[in-house]
Amino acid sequence: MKIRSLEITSFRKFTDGIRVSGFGDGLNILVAPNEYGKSTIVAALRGLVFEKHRARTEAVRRMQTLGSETSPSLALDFELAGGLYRLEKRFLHRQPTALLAGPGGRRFENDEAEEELQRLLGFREPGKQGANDESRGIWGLLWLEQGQSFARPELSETGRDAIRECLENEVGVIAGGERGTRILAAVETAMKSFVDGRGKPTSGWKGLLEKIAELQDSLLEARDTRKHLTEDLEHLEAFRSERQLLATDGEDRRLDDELAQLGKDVDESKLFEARLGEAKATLTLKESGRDAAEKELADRQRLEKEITAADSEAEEARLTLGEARKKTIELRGRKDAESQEERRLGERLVTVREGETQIGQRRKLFECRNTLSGLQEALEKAQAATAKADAVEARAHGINVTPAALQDLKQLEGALAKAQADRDALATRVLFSLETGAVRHVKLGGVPVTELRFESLLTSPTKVAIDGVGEIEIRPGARDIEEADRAFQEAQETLRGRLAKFGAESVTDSEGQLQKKKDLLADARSARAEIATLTRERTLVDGSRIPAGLDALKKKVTELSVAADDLEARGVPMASSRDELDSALSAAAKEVREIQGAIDVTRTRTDELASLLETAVREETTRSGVVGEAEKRATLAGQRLATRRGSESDGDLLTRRGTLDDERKKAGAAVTAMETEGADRDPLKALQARLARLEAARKDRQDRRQKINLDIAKLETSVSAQQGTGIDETIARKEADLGSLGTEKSLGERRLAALQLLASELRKAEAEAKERYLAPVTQRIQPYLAALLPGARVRCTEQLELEAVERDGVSEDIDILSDGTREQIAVLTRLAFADLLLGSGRPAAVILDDALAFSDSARLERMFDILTEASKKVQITVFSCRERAFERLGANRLVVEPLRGRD
Amino acid sequence: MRIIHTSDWQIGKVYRTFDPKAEAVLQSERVEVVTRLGQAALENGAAAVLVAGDVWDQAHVSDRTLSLPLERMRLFPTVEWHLIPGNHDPHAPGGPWARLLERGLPRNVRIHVEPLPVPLGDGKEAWLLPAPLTRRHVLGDPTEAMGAMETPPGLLRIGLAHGSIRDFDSDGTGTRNRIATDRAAAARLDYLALGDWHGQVRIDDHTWYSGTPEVDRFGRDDVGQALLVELTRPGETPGVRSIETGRFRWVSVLKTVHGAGDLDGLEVALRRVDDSPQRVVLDLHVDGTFSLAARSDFDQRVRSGVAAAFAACRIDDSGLTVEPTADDLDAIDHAGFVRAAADRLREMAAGPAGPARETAALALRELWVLHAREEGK
Repeated sequence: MKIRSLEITSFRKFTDGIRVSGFGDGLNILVAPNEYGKSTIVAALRGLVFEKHRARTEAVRRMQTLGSETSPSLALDFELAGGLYRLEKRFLHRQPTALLAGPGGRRFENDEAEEELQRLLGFREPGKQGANDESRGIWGLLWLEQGQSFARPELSETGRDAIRECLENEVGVIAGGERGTRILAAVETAMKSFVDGRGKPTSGWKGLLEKIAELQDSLLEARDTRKHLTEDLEHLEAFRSERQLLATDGEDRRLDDELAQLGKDVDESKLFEARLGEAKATLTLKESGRDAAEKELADRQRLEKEITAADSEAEEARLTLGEARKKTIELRGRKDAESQEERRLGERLVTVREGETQIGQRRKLFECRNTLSGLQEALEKAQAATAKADAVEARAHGINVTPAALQDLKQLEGALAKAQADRDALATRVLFSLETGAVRHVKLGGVPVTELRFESLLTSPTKVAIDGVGEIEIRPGARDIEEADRAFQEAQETLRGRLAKFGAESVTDSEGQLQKKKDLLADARSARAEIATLTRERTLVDGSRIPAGLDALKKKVTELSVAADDLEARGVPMASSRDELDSALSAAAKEVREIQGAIDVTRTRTDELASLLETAVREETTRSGVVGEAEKRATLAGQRLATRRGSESDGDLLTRRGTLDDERKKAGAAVTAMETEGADRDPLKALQARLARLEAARKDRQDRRQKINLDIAKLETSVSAQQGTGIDETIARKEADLGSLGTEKSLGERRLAALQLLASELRKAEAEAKERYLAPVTQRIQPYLAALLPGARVRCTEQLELEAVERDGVSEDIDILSDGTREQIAVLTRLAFADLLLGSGRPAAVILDDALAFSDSARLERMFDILTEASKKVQITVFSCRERAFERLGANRLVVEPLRGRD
Repeated sequence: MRIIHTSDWQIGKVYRTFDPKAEAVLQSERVEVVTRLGQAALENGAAAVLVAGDVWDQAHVSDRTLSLPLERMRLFPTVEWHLIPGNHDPHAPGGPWARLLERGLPRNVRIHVEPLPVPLGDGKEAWLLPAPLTRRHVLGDPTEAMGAMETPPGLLRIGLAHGSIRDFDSDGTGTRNRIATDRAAAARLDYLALGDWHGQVRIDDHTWYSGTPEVDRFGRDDVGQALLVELTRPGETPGVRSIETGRFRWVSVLKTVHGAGDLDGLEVALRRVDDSPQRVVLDLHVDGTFSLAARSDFDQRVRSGVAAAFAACRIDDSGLTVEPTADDLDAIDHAGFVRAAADRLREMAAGPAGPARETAALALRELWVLHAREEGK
């Protein structure tokens, strides 16, 4: 199929109608900027061919220009199998029309036209929703709208049928395809009864394997049980033999006999031991009786000795007690004499100390008066200096000129001088040079002049009156003279006012006042310094301190005066000199020291005597106690002895002791005789040990018998329980089951291996068949692909969809390729399909709207080469907005021109 | 006097190569044969049945298995049953005999667990000299003591023992439970009833193996038997007659078949094995070469067809080679990828012998079955 021209009227933006023409057989291009309407042209072509003229679907309604009711009208001239056709359609009209005119004057109208067109181009009648990929068939893939070119080419069922027809024309029908697929599915289903997709056992097969494992376990368990049963039976036999042996070996009888004899021996032995015990107890009793009598005798002798000793001790103590009493009396007399001497010395000391106090008071009066005379003079001088200083300072403070004020005054004085100079500079200078005698005839400003020659500076109109001549008024001519004069007056007034404030007549006077003030203040400072010296801090003869200051001095003077007056009032005479006082005081002190010494000596002696007296008194008390104690002891011992003799006389006691000793000897002989007899007997302990051992042995046999009976009972129970189950049968059953399951497993494994092999071979064969079947498609893509990606191979699915590209042995899924490469391969595939269709004598033409947008310049060049090569067989029309990029395509350029009424 | 001599009942035997239903039938019949032995005794006027060991197949059987033969014997109160332990059921602690001694026995059943002579019946005609086995394998002759056993003079001496008189063991070590060939003469026995050998064998005029009353393995075509022994006076040769007691015949068939044509012959041959195939236990070994179609027919006609006629059937077709023919492959498909796969599998199946070849052949059979199923749709 070759498009020749397309007319578009009242279709979307083309209200006025355009005609696209200039289509060549091979490669065509329309390059125009965005918004030009390239995509509208493609939409118009697709709408014209694939939509029904009577349709009012959404897609058809969108054909109308926005806001217009005008019916879209489209026409296409095309060439097919050497014949020229014209297709015209008017949509959305009261009477929508379709017309197909073909070679040889054939005309089809309306529905017939649509049907004929579908037959010619091989697409289906669109459904109620309008044309879609399914109805457009392979054309949907070949006539691309903007943005579709880089999508993976997906064939609709109709399109796929068309391609399949072509393929079958070339390679024949794919034999057994569907049936083979079903067989393969059946094989896979059969495999699933063994393993899942990941090779893991599934239900039935898994059950078998689990059952075998379980059976193996339970067989092991059963064999174990069998082993235990055998062991139990062996143990049972052994126990039964042992029980038999225990019952028949006669050991029980032997043990019983031996134990009976041992019982008798033990009883006899016990009786003998009891008798021996009794004999020993008698011996002990007799021994203790004799020992008690001996002890009583000894006690009585000890008491007699005690009485004698206590008597002699008391006698001796009575002698020393007399001596001690004599010594006490003597010491007490000496101590009293010393105490009397001490009292006399004390009275003397009081008298001497009173004399000493009186001398002290005289000394104090003397010092008071002495100190007072010096301090009073200093106080008077200080008070005079204070009065002077106060007066000078008062005068100084009366002058209120300060250095700053003086500075200010000097500045005002300078300002006045400047104001005067300014005024004088503007003033009119009048020089008077009068003749002698004329002076009294001339008045200046009403004031008679006094000098012959002088100069007057006039700042205001001033009259010069000359007697007899008249008046001459001089008017200063300068313009600002009045202003300067006023400034001068103001400066003068300011200075005058300020001087008055300080009571000065002039600045010089102020300066003098300031100097005066300074001098007065210097005088005051020197007076204050003198006061400070006079009232400085002092330390008096008695060590007391007078703080600095006039008041402290004044206070001290007052205190001293009061103290002196008080002493004099008490009749203390004033000493003539300090030396007199000192010698009297020294004599008194010496006497005090002597008396004090004598008192100390006396007191020491008294203390010594008191200590001796205390020792003597203690000795006397001790002696007296010793006497009492010894007398008491002698009395007590005497009483005890008397008591004992009262109950048994010494003679009776001696007799009793002799009897008891005889009895003791007899008992000792009896014990010795019994011990000699016992040496030939088995000791009771040995007999008892043997008895215990044999009893334990007998008990052990009983226990063993009991335990064996118990073990036998247990084993019999266990064996009887196990016997009933028929363990040998169970094992044989399980072995048989395991054998048959093993066979089943082996068969299953063989079958699974066969199914896996079958599936693998079927898949392999299917893949090879598919490859052969799809070869025409891939063979047609391959030359183009070689030009684009040297060495690459493309792989299609059975659904004729591009699946992957293989490069250098690596397979890359189409979806992971770059946008550019994917689009380029997609375009190649479309060219290959078109090629295939044409090869089968079917119509085909390719339209690419805004394609290859993602291609770089090198790839674009290769794609141009490919398109040029492909266009030798199929008409290719490219729409693009990229003038510069596509100028190297070298395609035939389409012409778009306004449509002038054809009708 | 007349006695029935039998042995090797092996009650409780497990059959490993048959399906559970067939096995149940075979097991049941081993018990039912006891009834037939009792009937034979009654029918032939035999006062006693001597069972020469291996009454049970194992030493430790369930209570039910233990009781099964006793309950059958109990049904014949006028018949005296004498049993001794064999190598399968030796008298050992906890074994069937010990359990029976504890539990008690029917009045007409005597078990002999010690080698002591006992009167047979009322003891006026004959004494029984038993040689029970107390272990599975006894080194030496279990009948050794028979010579020294005293019995009343002028009465018949009948020995009852279990063991091999010849070296039956294939490994040649058979000195275990070995019985002297001349035991009957040496021990002055009028008849020595032996068990252990499952076939019926005459050793000499006075010494016989009865064989098992119900066959339990392939290798002999006869049904199970017992012996009817008639003894008149001491020292005289007893009259011994075989009586049929078994139900099933165990038949082995070995056939070589090539192609579908031979399949017809095989089917006919199998149907001719016995007039009562329901009493036959069949062991079929098939080898030869089959096409895929014929192989499928074999499964259909033999495995699922004629095999059902027999009481039990074991088929070994591992020697059957499948060689797909051109027709087989054309039937699968003339062209297309399935045919391509079939062609390749055929090549593999024709390759050198080994697991790969077998797997390929099996894969072809699977393909054939699936193809046939598809055809059937």
